[in-house]
Amino acid sequence: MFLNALEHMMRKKLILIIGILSVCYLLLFWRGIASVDPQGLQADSGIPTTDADMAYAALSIAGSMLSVMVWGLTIILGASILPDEMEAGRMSIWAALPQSRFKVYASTSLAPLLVSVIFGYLLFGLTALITSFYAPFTPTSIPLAIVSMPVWLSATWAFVIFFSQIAGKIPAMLITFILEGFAVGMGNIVELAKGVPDLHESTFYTVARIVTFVLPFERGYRSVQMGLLPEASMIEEALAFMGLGGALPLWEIIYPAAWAALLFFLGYRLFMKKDL
Amino acid sequence: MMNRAIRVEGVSKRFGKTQALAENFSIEVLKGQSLAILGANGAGKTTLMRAVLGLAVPDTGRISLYGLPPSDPDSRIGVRFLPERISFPKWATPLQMYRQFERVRREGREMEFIHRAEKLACGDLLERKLGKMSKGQRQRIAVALMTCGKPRTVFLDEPSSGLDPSGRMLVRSTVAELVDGGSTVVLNSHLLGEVEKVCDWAAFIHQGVLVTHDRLEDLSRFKGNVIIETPDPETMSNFLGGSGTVKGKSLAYPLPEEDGFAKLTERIANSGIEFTGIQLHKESLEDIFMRIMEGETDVS
Repeated sequence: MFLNALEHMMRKKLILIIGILSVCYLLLFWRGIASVDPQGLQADSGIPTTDADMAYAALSIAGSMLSVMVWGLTIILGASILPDEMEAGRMSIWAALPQSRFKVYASTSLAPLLVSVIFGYLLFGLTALITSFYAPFTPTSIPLAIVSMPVWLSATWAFVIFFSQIAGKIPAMLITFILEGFAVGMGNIVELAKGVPDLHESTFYTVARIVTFVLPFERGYRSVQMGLLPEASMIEEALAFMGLGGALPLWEIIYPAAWAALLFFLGYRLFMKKDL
Repeated sequence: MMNRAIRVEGVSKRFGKTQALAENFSIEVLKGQSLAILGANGAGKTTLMRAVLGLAVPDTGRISLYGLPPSDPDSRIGVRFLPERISFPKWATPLQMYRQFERVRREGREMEFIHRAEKLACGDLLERKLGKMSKGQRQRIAVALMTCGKPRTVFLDEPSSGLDPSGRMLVRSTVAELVDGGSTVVLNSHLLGEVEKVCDWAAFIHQGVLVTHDRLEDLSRFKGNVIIETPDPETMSNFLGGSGTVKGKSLAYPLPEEDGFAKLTERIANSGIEFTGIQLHKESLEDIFMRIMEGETDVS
């Protein structure tokens, strides 16, 4: 059934469009970074610029854009198989085959997650690789980036799957987009507060922190970013003020995965009770 | 009972304010039976099928398929379901759909599907995308997908929907072939003439209530006359006292009681008048349907 779900998804024009957009992005990024002159940067700013700094800047800026692309992809793909099959009336055929409802649910919902994670790896990985051609650098922790990718995306994916069981495909996508945007904004506040100690005392910070717990969409992303960013960069601290740096404790990385597992299970409970 | 394919016991199912299956709905289907589920639109026929397959969760009661609850995937081994409205992905060809089904059910061989498709006169469509087929072509493919091989039980919800007369005939012969092959068939169709030809049993449902469930031949009532096929109906009519209505090469002779049939047959046989057939005129399935749906429930 998992293979069936993958086959259904790979046949969608959406995947082709996303593939073309991704290639366009990578080519533009390649062209952009190839045109940067490190000596020119140093002369303009008057600050010595290392390869690591250049890589840091490139990955930070590209990372923000990539995160939106991969988030969007996860939301759209997440809503593309399970809710689609239900709305098309095909779920009854799959569920009438000799397989459990859990298998139907898990296969049709996990396939989009797998594709999103693969896209995430490809986009972030190729961006880092292209960067390393022009600004050789040593990533802080590749294993951290690899582990954080599915954790990050599973939180988004689980929300879409869960809401699709309550409200249907389009509302689930919209709700997740809105919640995600809100959570990312609050996550940036939390990161910013690392450089502004006074902010820790404010109610606003408390609210932002609570939101990042209830909607843990961007914790994993920050770990992906952190794992890929170069070691020994001089501009790391400066960028931290933009909410792009700073280490996360391990539990904050694992927590979204636990959240995703819970929502996945709750979605399954709803699916079990549905008349197909 | 080892011979039981389906058991529905005290089931009820409600969709919001609509009672799809009334309290204590119970029915049994034995292995190899061909059962027609009949009733008006909204009577609960499709809900019953879906409940048996585990697609609709009953509010009360118990259901078993080959002794297992519908929640057990093993209960659906060898079980096929053709829903009334089937929507295939447009990109897929029939062969791709077959392979997708077989990845899960692992019950048959591709040749069996190809043979079935050929029998349903859609063998030339197997490589064509389903999105580029007419409704009737897709329906033939759907029937082929769900009836190929040797299924244990087949649930067919309006299998002739959208088909032309030749397609209906082919579907009818497919169902007959399944029955002959020993499959249990549960058929939901409004085409009573076709149902009558392939099903031995019928269950009549009215507003979620099982009105009656019996063999078709036992449900059919005697209509008060005997049809005698003879080359000379006028002579036969005179021999029987001038009564009866001549219609072509047959005579409809009134018989007050069904019990008198044996005596009448003996009398005609000894008359020396040539005849080719004699039978009790009984209700067609359409007659039974109308009688039961008009509120008469005492059919036994």
